[in-house]
Amino acid sequence: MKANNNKQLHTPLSHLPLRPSTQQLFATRGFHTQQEVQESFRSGGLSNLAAELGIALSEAGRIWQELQSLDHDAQKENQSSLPNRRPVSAQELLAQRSEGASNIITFCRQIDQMLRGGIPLGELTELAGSPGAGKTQWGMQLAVNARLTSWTGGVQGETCYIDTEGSFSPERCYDMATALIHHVQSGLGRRRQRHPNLPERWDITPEDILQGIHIIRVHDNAALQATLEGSLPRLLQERAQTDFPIKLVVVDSIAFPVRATPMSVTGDDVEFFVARSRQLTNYANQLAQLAAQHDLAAVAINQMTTKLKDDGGELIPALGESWAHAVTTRLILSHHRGNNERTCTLAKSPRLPAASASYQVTSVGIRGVEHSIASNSQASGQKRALEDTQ
Amino acid sequence: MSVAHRSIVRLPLEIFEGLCDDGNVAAIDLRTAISKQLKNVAKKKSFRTVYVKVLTVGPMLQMSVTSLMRALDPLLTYQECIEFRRRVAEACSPQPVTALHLLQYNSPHTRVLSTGLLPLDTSLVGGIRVGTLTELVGSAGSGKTQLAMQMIVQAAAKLQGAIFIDTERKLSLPRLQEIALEKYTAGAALLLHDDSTTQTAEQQFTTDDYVDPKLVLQNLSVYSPASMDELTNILSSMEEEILLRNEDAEKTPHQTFPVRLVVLDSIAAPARRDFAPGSGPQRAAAVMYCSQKLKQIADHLHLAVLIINQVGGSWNSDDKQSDVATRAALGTTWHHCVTTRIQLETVSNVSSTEMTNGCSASNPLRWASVVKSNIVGHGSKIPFTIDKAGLADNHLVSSTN
Repeated sequence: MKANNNKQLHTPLSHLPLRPSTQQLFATRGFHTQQEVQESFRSGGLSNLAAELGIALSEAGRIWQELQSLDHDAQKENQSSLPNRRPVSAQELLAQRSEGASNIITFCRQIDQMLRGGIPLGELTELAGSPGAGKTQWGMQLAVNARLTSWTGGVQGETCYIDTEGSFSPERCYDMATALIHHVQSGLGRRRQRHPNLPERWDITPEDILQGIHIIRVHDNAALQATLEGSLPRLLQERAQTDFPIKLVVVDSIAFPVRATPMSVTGDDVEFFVARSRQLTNYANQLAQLAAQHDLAAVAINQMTTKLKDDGGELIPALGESWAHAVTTRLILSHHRGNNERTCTLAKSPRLPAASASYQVTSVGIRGVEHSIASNSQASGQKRALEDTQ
Repeated sequence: MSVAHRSIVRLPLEIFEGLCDDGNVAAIDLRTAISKQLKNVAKKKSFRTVYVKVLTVGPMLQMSVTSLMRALDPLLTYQECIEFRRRVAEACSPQPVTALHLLQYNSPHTRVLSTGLLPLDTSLVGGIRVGTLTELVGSAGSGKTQLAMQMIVQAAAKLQGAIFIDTERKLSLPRLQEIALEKYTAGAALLLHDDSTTQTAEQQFTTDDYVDPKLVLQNLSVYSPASMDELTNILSSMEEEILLRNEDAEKTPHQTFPVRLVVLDSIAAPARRDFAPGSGPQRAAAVMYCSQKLKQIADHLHLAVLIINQVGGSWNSDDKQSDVATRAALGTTWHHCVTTRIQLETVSNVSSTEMTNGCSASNPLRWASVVKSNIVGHGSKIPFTIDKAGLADNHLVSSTN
C-alpha cells in the first residue's frame, strides 16, 4: 500500500484527468507531480498552496478537492483488491462461483444442450438474425423464461426489455406466459415422483410474469445512450434488493437506432464510422459491465446486412467488426424459406464448440424440435407453426 | 419528445443543484455558463480543429467525459462531469413501464385498424396494428394503392382521420370518392331496407359502416414530397400537424376526426430515385431514419402506419422461388424495419383449369397473404377481387396455400 502510494505521488500531473485550466496553472507555477502539491499542503495548509499557486483560497480548496477525489478513486480500486492482494488461483475462482442456475434456459432441448445450460448470466450475448427469423419472439420468450423458479432450473428474476423497434407485443407475451405456466404445472406431477420436496404447484399467474417485465421504449440513439446510463442502472438498483432482481436485459434491437442515424451524402466520412464503432464498443462495454456487476444476462439483438461478394451477397450480422469482437457469445438465427425450419447457430463462444440446433416458433412460443435439421423435410413438415391454416 | 433534441439550456435545475463543489455558484448561473461554453466546442476533423455548437443533449452524450471536461473548463472537474452526465441521462431517459400495464392500458378498439377485407383482418388478428409499421408489398398493379384507399375510407367510417404521403403522385381522388360512395350506398341501402335476414355473417353492416365521401376527404391530408429530403422534413413536422388536427377533432367531433392512419405510398420511389446505385449505405441509413421517425409518430400518437413498397430485382441466388416478398425492394435493411408485411400477388397468366373459376385476362387472380408478423405465423393466401367499392372477398376461388 505504501509502495503504491509513492508510485501515485510521482505520477506527473499532466497525466491526471484535471481541468485544462488547472493543468496550466500547475505547469506555470512549477508543480509537476502530486508529491509537490502534497508537500506544499503539508508545510502550510491550504493558504500556502493558494499563495504558491497565486489564486484565491476558495479556488485552492477546490483544486485540492479535485486531486483528493482522484486519489480517492485510485485508493478505492486499491482497497477493493486489498484482501486479494496475493494472486488468486484459478481453482479458488472456480470454487467461488455462485451456486444456483447460471443460465436462462430456452426450453428447446437441443439449444440448451448446445449452450450447456442456456443463455449465460454475467455476459453479453448477441442474437443476430435475418428479418422474420424470430428475434423478437426469442426476446419475449427469454423474458418469460427468466421468471422460472430455481426448482425448475430457472434464475427467478425479472427482465428489463429495451425496445427500440416497437415490436414488443404484450398480448403475445401474455400467451407465452400462460403456456409456460401450464407447461411447468403439467410436468410438476411427474417430477414430484422423483423429487418429493418440490412444491405442489407453481403459485403464479401470467399477470405476475408480465408485471415483472419492465419495458423501456427507446426511439433513437440518444435515448438509448441515456437509458444505458440513466434509467437502466437505476432500475437495476431499485430491483436489486427485492425477491426478484433483474436477471435479464434485452436490447431489441441494438442495430436499429445505430443504423438509423443519418449519414452525409458523400458517405466516405471516415469519422462517421469511427464514431459509430466507438459508440458500439461503449454500448457493449456498458452492457457487459452491468451484466457482470448484477450477475444478469445481457442479450443484444442484432440485424443482418448483406456483404457484397463476387457471386452475389452473403448475409452477415450487422454493425461491423468491432461490435463482433465486443460480444462474448454470438448466436445466429435463420429461417429457411419454404418450410418452417428455423436454425440457431452458435457462431462465437469462449468455451463451447460451434454447433447448430433447430427450433420452431409456435402459438405457445419458442419450442424445440424433435429432429435435427438433417432430417427429411416431411417429418419436420409435421412440426409447422400452429397458426398455419393449411 | 425526443431525447436528442432536448436543449441543454432548458434542462431542469435539479441537475445543476449541488453539482459544483463551489458553493457560491447558483444552479441557474451554472446552467447558463455550461450551455454558453458548450456553444463553442473544439472538435478535431480531418487534422483540423473545427468549432461546433453543442446545444442539445444528443450530441452532448456523444462526447467523452474528457472532452466534456475540456469544453467546460474551468466549470466542472472530472468527477463532476461524470456526475453531470449521469444526472442528465437519468433526467432524459425514457421511464420503464411493465408489460402488464401495456396490456391492460391499450383498449382493443384502438389497437387495430380494419383493412376492409375480412379474411385479411382475420389473418392479422383484427387488422393492422396501431403503434407499428405495416408494409404492403406487391408488383405493379397488384392493388396496393387500392387497399390503402380502402383503408382510408374504412377509417373514416370509424370516425378516424388519415394522412396520405404520395411520393409517386398516383393518388386518385376521384377513385377515393368512388370507393367512399360505393361503401356509402351499400350501407345506406341496407339502412333503407333494414332486412337483417339477408345479411350473411360476412356482411354485417351496421350504421357505423357507412361514410359520407365529403367527410372522408375532409379528414385526409395529402403530402407530395418530391425527394427523400422533403420526405424526412415532412416526417419531422408531422407530429405537430397531427396534434393540431386531434385538437380540432375534440372541438368538432362530427366533422373532424383524430388521425389514426398514415399511409406512405411508396417508400421505394424516393429511395431509388435519390440514391445512385453505389450509395447503398446512405440509402439504407436514410430509409431506416424514415422508419424510425414513423415508428416514433406511431408510438407517441397511437396511430397505424401503412407503407407501400415496390418489387425489385433480386440478385440473391438463393431465391429459387421468385416469391414476391423475396423480391421486395430496398433489401434486407428495410425488411428489418417493418413489424408486419402483407404481400399482394397477381396471377395474370392463368391455365385453363383456373379459367373456370371466373378468372380472365382482364380480371386476374389476386391473392393477399401475411408473410411477416410478430404475433401470428404465416397465413394462408386470401383471394380477392377489385371492384368499384375497393377490395372484396373473392368467393369464387377457394382459399388455398
